[in-house]
Amino acid sequence: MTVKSGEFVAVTGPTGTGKTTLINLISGLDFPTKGSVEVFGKDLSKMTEGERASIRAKKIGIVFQNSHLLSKLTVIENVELPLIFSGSPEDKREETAVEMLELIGLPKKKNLFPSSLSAGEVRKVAIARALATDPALLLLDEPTSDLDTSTIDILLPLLRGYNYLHNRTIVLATNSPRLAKLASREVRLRWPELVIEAIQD
Amino acid sequence: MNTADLLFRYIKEAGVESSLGGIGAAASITVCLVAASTRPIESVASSYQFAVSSLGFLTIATLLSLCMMSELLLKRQEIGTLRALGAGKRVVMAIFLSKSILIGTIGSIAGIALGCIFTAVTQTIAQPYQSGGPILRMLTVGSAGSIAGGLYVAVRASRMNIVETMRE
Repeated sequence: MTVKSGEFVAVTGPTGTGKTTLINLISGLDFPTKGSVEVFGKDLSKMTEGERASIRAKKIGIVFQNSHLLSKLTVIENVELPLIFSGSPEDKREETAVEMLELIGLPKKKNLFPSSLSAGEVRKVAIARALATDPALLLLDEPTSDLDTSTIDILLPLLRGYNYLHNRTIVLATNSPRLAKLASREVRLRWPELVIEAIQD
Repeated sequence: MNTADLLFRYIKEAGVESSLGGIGAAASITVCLVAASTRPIESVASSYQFAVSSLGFLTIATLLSLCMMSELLLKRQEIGTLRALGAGKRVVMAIFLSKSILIGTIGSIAGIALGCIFTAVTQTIAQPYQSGGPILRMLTVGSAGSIAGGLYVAVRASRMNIVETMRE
């Protein structure tokens, strides 16, 4: 499977077919038992742990299936986290984080803790966190699972615009046919054959 | 014979060489008592100081290690998230080590303060410190013990499997 730079790919398939595993492999969080994964032209398994961490910090934004916001940090601090790891200047971190929160419609909740947010808001903050470093590759694992229809309506053009206007690569794991239609290509995973079908739009 | 050799010998004599877990309060007390009692008479004072320092070091290192290990178990998922967001192993190690050193140093300062108060109150049997030497030594022992205790946990934290911790 190859994803070109600037492409928007939706990875679909029933539960348990390996969508999350694929996202973990691309982000260098997990390693394949067979084969290899190349990201930005480099084999992840041949990189040091530090190099993989650096790529995740600077070039990859990830929205995890369970959001994984840090409960002891406020909303804005959560969004600032990847900016710290990517080496963003200290005076610009808060400004960027506020911009991201405005983008997803939660600027007034920047000083709240994740425990006081709804599930949908938590997911939105996770998306803002992933976009904060303006990553070249955005990985989303079931990003709309906790969101209502109106929130999804806000999110869809945001993702499409990020891909189209900023020419950023997006790999989206989803079970939602509506979300999958947004992508320029859909890859279906099937178990147990693990056949990958690529359907061009 | 350096300090490490001496400690190892006394631990071996105490019969706990097969278990790293033996480096706890009981072993450290044994080490210190034997170290103090087997030195020549003219250097009893320095042996006693060595024994007390060793006891302090081992106790602080053991307790800090246990304290930081419970911290590690409680925050596994958060550490996994930090790593997934791009934090390197060194960042995770620095978090745990700095916290361990902070706790150890604060504990040492509090202990020294309480010790000074205690010796001032009971000066009929012990003289309060007249110089900063022993205080500085105890602070050094406390900091060194906290580094030793935190280092093991910091290394373990930095080596955790990111995907496994995030699944929990």
